[in-house]
Amino acid sequence: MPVNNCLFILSTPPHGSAVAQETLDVILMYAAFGVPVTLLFIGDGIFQLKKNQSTAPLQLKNFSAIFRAMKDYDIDNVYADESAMTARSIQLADLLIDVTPLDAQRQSQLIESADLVFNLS
Amino acid sequence: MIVNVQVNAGPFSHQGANTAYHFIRAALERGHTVQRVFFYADGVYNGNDLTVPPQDECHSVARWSALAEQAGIDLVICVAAAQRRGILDSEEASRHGKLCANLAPGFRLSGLGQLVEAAIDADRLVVFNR
Repeated sequence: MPVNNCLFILSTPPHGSAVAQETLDVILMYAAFGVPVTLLFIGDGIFQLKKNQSTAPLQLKNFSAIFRAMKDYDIDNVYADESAMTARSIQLADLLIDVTPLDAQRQSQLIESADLVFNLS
Repeated sequence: MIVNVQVNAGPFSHQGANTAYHFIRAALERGHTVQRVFFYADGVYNGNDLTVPPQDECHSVARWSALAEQAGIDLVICVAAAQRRGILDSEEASRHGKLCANLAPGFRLSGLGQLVEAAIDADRLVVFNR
């Protein structure tokens, strides 16, 4: 199966479960194989992209810096559910990387056009 | 059709791994090919040889090992996810100074690249989360 477009749906906050961190490793591996990768952040998943995360008090690894390296992996297609951002009072300026907000219809188009849809949660 | 499988669920707390097993059996019976099952996240616990369920319950780990032997399916466990969760083969165990290895027969440890390869080589990659 030629995987021309792999869509990752990220729906969990960065901590509280290992899902976000372990999904990130999968994303980078697909990208390293040259598979075009698209990211869609929905629900609490948008919290993964928040600037100024402080994990030291919880003795958790802060892996949010990896998002800044996404460009080095040619991961430029990053989308977010705009209603999830609104519900959580998150502005684009609050986020670590450039994100394009999408309405529900555009999100379903994104899912339909993907060869492979990955959601670890 | 070549159908490869990713299992992210552990053997006991969730249904996903059990469903994956039956899905694979059904796919094989219908004449499809399953080359590889890739175990990720809590799915790595499916390869824990120290699993000892009560005798009147399904021994899901032994069932995977039997499937690998019967059907020649490559059972690959993500090495990074496995190390975090204490699933080690003898090589990893000695490298980390551990007294015992606990990777069940029929499984092998490897990297996430094996997952991407399984996706590219297959007509379908089916993921079981929980």
